[in-house]
Amino acid sequence: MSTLTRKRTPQQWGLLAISIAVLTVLLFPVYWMVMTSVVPSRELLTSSPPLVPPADSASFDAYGEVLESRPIGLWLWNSTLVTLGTALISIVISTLGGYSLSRFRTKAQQAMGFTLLFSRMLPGTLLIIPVFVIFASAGMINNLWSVILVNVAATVPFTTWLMKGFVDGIPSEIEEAAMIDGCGRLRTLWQVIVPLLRPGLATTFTYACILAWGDFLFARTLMPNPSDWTITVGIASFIGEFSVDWSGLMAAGIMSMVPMLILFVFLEPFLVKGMASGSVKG
Amino acid sequence: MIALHRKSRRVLATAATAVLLAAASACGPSTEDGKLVLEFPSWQADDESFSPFWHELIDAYEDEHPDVEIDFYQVPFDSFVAQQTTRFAAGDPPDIVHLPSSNAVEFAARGWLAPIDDRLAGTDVLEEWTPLQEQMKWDGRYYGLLLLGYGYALFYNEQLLADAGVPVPETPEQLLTAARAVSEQQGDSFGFGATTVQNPDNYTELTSFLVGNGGSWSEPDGRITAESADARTALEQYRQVLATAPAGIQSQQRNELFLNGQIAMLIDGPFLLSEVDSAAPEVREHLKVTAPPFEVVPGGVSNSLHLAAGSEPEVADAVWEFVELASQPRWQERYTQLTGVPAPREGSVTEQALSETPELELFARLADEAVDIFPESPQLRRNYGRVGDAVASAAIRLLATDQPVERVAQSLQRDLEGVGDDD
Amino acid sequence: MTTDVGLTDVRTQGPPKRRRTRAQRDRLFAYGMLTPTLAAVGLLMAYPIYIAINLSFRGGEIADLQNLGQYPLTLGNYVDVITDPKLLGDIWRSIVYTVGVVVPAFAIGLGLALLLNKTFPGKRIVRPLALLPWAVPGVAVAAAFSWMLDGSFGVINYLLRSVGLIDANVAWLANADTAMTAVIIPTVWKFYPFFTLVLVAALQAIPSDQYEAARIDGAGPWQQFRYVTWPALRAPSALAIVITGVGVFREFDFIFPLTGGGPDDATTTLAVRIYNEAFEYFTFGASAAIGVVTMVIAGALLLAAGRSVREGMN
Repeated sequence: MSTLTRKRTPQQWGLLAISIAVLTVLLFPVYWMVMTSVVPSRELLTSSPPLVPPADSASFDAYGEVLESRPIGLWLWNSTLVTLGTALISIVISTLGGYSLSRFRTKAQQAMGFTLLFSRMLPGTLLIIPVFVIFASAGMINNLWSVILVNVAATVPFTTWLMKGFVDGIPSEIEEAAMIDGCGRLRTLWQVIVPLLRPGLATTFTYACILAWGDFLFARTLMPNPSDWTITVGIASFIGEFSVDWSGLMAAGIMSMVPMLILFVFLEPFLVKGMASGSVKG
Repeated sequence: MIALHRKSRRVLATAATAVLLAAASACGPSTEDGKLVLEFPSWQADDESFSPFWHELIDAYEDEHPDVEIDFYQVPFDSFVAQQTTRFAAGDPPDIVHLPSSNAVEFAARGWLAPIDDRLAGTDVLEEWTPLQEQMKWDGRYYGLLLLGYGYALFYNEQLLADAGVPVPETPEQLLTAARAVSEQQGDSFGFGATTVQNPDNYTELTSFLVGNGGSWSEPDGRITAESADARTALEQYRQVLATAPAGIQSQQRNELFLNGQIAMLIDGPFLLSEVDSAAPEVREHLKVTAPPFEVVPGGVSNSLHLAAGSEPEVADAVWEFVELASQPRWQERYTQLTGVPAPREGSVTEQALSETPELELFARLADEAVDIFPESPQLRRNYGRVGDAVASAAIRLLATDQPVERVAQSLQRDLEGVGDDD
Repeated sequence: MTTDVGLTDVRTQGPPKRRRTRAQRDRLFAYGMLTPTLAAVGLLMAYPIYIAINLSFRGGEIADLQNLGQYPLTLGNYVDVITDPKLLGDIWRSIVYTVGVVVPAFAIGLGLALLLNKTFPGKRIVRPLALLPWAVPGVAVAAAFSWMLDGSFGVINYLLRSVGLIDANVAWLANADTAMTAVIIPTVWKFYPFFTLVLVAALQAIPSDQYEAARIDGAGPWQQFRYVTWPALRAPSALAIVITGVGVFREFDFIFPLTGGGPDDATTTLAVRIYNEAFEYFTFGASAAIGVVTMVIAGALLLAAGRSVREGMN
């Protein structure tokens, strides 16, 4: 907080200038998505397209049209359910697993950790038919749980390793002290380690959210019914046999980013808290 | 691993299933309050020109069959075939099977579709249908009802051609001259439009040049003829004409540029007409369609209805009744009228449809004359995916490299000869 | 160093007999903690992987994956796949793609993380924005880039022409020389924010007194980076590189919609090949065999990924 009130040095303004320059390049594709959503595509399909929206033809009509003619709200809601379900389950499972991999390093543990990563080396496209078999025989096609569960299975190998990395960063002397105080292992984990892991938890949670939010293969295969479509399947539906509704697709694409952007903003305090945990460690 | 027996396999699957069942309440079977529900996924369910027909047909069917309900829903076009492949390979196919016809033989050859010869025998379909229905045949039996067979047409922008001072082409040579003349004009316009990145559409575009010149990739006996004189001529024409086309674009972008008035000519099926209608009025008035500039009219099959192999007799009968309803003259006429493309039944173009869509006369004539661009050799037909890839690779070599036509033809010949080696 | 904490403190406490039971209890606890992870993965991945392996040993026209027993056992798929000269090319392109994505993505991620770790006005807005590409679903990324890489009127061509980097339009996705670059760019764009996030979290955990101590010792910015920052980033970097590398090696969502593996196989990686064999050519056995080969190669690469990576992960 004190940094906010401190007087800005020229160096700080320099850093801001650099940040803006870097963001301009990195975010150009997003900017161009916005442009495509507000400018009719025929005006962009020329050898010298306008780089800022022309005042006379730019409009947000595409957004209104998409909101009116497509159930974007429903798609976003379905995606939100899948994403939250996946991320919450993954984070619990992978905190336990990551702690175990970090603190107990027997040969068998190592092998299992490696097997986890190994399981992710087969492309999803090869696994998708058997995955479909499983859920079809369980009568779980068009069921949100099927997509949540398979996303958990796809995410957990990564998030477990990620959590392990964060647990590694916490000196084990801290738990030792707690356990000497008579805490059991699980209570130590919950009361001592988890609070220190907040930046790690936030990072891992975000990671799981991003994977689940972006999932297209599982969602389109396991929930083909349009009332169960997630936002990614919805976006793909703008690509037709004979034409692509570019402005609609980009408008939906922009709307699909908003929930994740909100997540990033919420994440911010957790990352700052990381500083606190770091000083505890020091 | 492989030593695991059937039993252990089943144990694995059952274990997974059991846990999942505990996790969620299982859905009911496909009957709701005694009603039989037929699942009908399609990429046309949201399509502006085709879905009105389907909805009308389904309503009529459900009126006739109060105990049957059709669950007609949209699957995005891009992933439609992959989705159906997954379902068939997993042994859980949909009830009413709607497929892009270029994939139908592949599905039939894998035993996924039910032969319908006996059912067709009770109808007049085989007498009244376009000869393109033969493309539904695999190994001597029919596996589906063709819904749309067509001849390729030349769509052109009258104004762009007039500005360049060239007539509407009637031969491949004129096509090339016209395309070059337009591309040489000032501004962002192109003489010809095509798919210029690697894509299954390269197959149809390149092969329409081939068939238009009277050639083919193979003989019915399986001989590959990619190095024949006709084939080399077609490859050369394709290369020269496409040199005037915008580079590095997909077919949807090609259509968009045509609709924007930036492409003078392209060759496609009659279904493009409904897209053309969505062009801005000042462009639309210049967009016209005529016969393709070839000796032979290349043609294709678009989509078709099928029955899944191994479905319950009750379901199969209900699905067949739906297919049969779609084949009735009344519904064939309605199809023509609503979609603006001639339905496959002889005489489906009514006066009323013609007054709404005058182009139907041309489309119907082209469809009658059309020679299919689908390969003839059975080996190629059942491995269409591989064939499409080999031809698309050749097309992209013609477009993006300087490789001589002879070499492209040679390697295509080799690739096509290799198709199906592994079975 | 931290590994045997549970055991060391026990050693000082009890008689040998009790120590063993405590160790056993620890082991049980360790496995217990890992069980949910293994169950989640095992439940949904074991059966598909088993089917894939089974499938890879089956011959004939495979059409029913639920009843593979009806197809004859064979090594034919492996013989075909391994003797196919295309395989080496596919492996090479997978490696090029993976390295081509991970290296720039890591560099951008690290640079941004260092920048975002500094204090400057507006940082709270800059930080979430820097992560924005991560929020875009892969389907939308692929569509946006196919639009921008359009060989005729794509904005990327326009920008490059404007600044004089190219003279004429480049058909990025149609040209065998540029297609790999053209699929790498969107993948880098999508993957760099993960590095940024992980590295920012790691940087935040470095106590500021360490920098102060270094400054007092007369260390310049480079030396501070070398001796304070980098040691703290090594382990998380290695982990993030491995996780991303595994993800990219089997990535398919960017290549397939953009090029389908073309032009002329220039972007056919193992993942694309596996998809094409199964879903374009319907040769499920060959597809599975390539899948298993991919798994073995990826595993071997991971093991051989160098000591530093393994150290970082341990």
